[in-house]
Amino acid sequence: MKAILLIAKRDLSEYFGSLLGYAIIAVLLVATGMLFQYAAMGDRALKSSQALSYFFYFGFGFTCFAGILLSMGVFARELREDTIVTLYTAPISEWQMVLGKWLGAYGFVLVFIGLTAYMPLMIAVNGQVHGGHVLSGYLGLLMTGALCTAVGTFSSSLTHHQLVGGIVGGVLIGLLVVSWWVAGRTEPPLSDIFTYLSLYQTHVEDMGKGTLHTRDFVYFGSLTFLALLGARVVLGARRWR
Amino acid sequence: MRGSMALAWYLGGLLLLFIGERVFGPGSSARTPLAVLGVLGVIAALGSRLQKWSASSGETRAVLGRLVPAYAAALAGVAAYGAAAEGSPAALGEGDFAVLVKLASAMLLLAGTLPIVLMESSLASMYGAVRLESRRLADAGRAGLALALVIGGLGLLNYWAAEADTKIDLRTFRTLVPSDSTVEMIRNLQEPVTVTLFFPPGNDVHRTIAPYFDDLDKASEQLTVRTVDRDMNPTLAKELRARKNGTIVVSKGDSHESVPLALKPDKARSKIKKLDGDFGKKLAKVTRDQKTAYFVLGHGERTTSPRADDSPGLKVTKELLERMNFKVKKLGPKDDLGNQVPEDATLVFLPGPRLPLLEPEVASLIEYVQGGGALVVMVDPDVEEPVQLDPLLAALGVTIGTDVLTHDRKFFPFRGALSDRQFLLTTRFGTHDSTTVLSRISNQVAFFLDGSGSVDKLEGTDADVQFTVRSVAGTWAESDGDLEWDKGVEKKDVYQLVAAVELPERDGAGRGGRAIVTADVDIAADTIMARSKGNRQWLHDAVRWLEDDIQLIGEVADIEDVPVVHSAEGESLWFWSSTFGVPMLFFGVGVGVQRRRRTA
Repeated sequence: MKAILLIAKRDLSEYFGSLLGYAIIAVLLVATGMLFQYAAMGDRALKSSQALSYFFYFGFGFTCFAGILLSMGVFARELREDTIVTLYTAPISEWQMVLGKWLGAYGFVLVFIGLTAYMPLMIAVNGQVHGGHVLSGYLGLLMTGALCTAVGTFSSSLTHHQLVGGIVGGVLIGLLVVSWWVAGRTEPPLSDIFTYLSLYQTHVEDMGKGTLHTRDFVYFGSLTFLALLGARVVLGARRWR
Repeated sequence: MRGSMALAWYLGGLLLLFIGERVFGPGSSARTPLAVLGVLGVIAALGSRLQKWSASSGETRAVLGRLVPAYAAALAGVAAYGAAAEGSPAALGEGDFAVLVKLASAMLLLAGTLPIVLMESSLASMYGAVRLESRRLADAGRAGLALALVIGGLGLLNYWAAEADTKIDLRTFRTLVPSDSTVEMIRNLQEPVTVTLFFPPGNDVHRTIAPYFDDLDKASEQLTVRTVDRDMNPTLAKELRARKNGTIVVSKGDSHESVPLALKPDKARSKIKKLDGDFGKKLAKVTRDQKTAYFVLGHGERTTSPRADDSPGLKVTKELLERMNFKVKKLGPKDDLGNQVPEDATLVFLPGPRLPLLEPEVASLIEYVQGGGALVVMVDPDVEEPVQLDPLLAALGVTIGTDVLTHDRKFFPFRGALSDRQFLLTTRFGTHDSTTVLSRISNQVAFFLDGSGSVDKLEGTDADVQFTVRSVAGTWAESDGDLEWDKGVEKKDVYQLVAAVELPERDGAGRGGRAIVTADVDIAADTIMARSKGNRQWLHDAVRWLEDDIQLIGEVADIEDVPVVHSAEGESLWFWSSTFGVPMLFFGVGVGVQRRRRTA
């Protein structure tokens, strides 16, 4: 655990130590804020809960972006600069490497999610929000952030190029999102599988509206674990490739 | 061994199988040829590896020996799929065994394919090597198998999670707690009341509302709560006039009132949010006589709809009164106010008249309140020429200061403009029956005013005038309209905002009349009432005090979802400060950290 936290701390301080991390979060916040203002706080007289649902809808998209953008370089950078050797030769397991890297990136994603809190606050000031709705929506964002960061960590372990890692991660998350449409074009049992896999419609949308499903915790936990296991397998492949 | 043909055969075979089964499907003429070709591809892959394995020796044989079982497992998976697939010659049909075989086929395919791909990739990386290393292939196979087992295990876990899914609706939690006023009503029951929840067993909506009624059940022995399935008890349902399940019936003797909900959580959600208010209203209807509240109109008063000049209406106030078992009626010029206030009036509102009332109308109101009636007078000073209500106010023992109260710090930034200095808030409440709850919860709620004047006691009056709401210190009465404090001209002080008046008992009246006097009508207008629990609580308790029902004073439940409102002039401020302010602040912190690092 100590080794995991050490790696996470090192990576997190790297994010805080470079302007790029701040810039990514600032840009994502501006984009989220603009869309939120346009859709939820504009001229239309939306009910408070609708405005809050809009916020979580945009929040979901930008949390995915943040997760992928901030994690796409975690291993790709080390691979490109050959500093991965330091990690390989350190007395830590591949699991510790993966978890530490993921945790570092996820920590920065949490900063982004935390900074969006002013938006529900604005709705509270101009309308009325239910604590339960906010709690549920933010749980959705936290789990989405964890999953996307894990997928970004996995895709980053595949390549020396951050951008390629980002694209692969984006495609994987994109596949989870579009599986809803795929489900509509296939027949059971495939359609059931694709419906269940659908990231937004099946697992996030309801949370953004204030409803939790126990299956969502299992879904996010499973896919996050699987992505991290994938990264561990890729890193371990140096022994047999 | 570079670019293994076996792997190409294998993946090609699986692809053909997939196309045959999923793209064309049962009934298509292309399905069988594609399936045959697919199976042949998988067999060819296995055959290819078997042939090379049997022809090799030493370390190469050991390496290939690891691949053969994986291909064999995959072929077994394909065979199991064939046995369970719909329309196949060997179809097992439906049933548990067929499901088990389908599951086994998926697991075998997964446990074969992933190790095959990883081992073939490992083998390809050894292309050109002097010696093949079976240990590397074993590692790859183990990794593939572990991945396959984890995917299979997680698949089963997720299948179970989807089947056993439980929905938790966090949006209804707050409204599912009985409000103080409902609990008080239950505690004050003098006769037995029965609440029948018509729901079928195991219903989600019933599960959500049951704790609410359990709480009420504990509040009084006079209350009985029971759950009945309407379909199993049609006679009782007919007697209580419950037409369908998903209905709550409140009964006292032969009097029944129903609260319709729904059986599906999605449809019931909005009704559950209002459950406390709706239930309280029906409970009041069966246990108490309905009373009438009149809203005077015809002199530019606020009504339940917004006015053409955008002044907010009193719809929320009307709804609150209806929940308190009041029938809300209009009292206009046609209703003979000049002669007398209707006899059935329990309460009369005079909500911000902008034109003077006729003398006989004022006389009727004075006669009504002095005869033991209850009156709410709301003067609106936030207009060019505030209407004079002197004779009425004098009868109530108060005067109104029409200079609008202003504060340069303790205001609510509602519009994002200087005029917000007159959108005041306060948590200073007097010791009075109409503000007992507000005083208690003043650390949680505030009382809002928009363009309020002040109230004072008339010298020499024999009325008992108590001030129940005061402004915060440092408030001044704006005299020249510049919204700036003019030292020496305008006095910073604590101003009285609401007065509760009790007139002396007149012979034969039974009790003295009561009145609430405010110098702001917006405190009861929708803009504030929809958002401020403090204002709703104040109105609720003030009305209870006016009708002398102080035992029912208690914390009111939250109302349902309210629209997001922000003024046009405040829009740009909101936009710029939030959309760019927060990100720029964060980026600024980043720049600061960088500079500090460089300096260090």
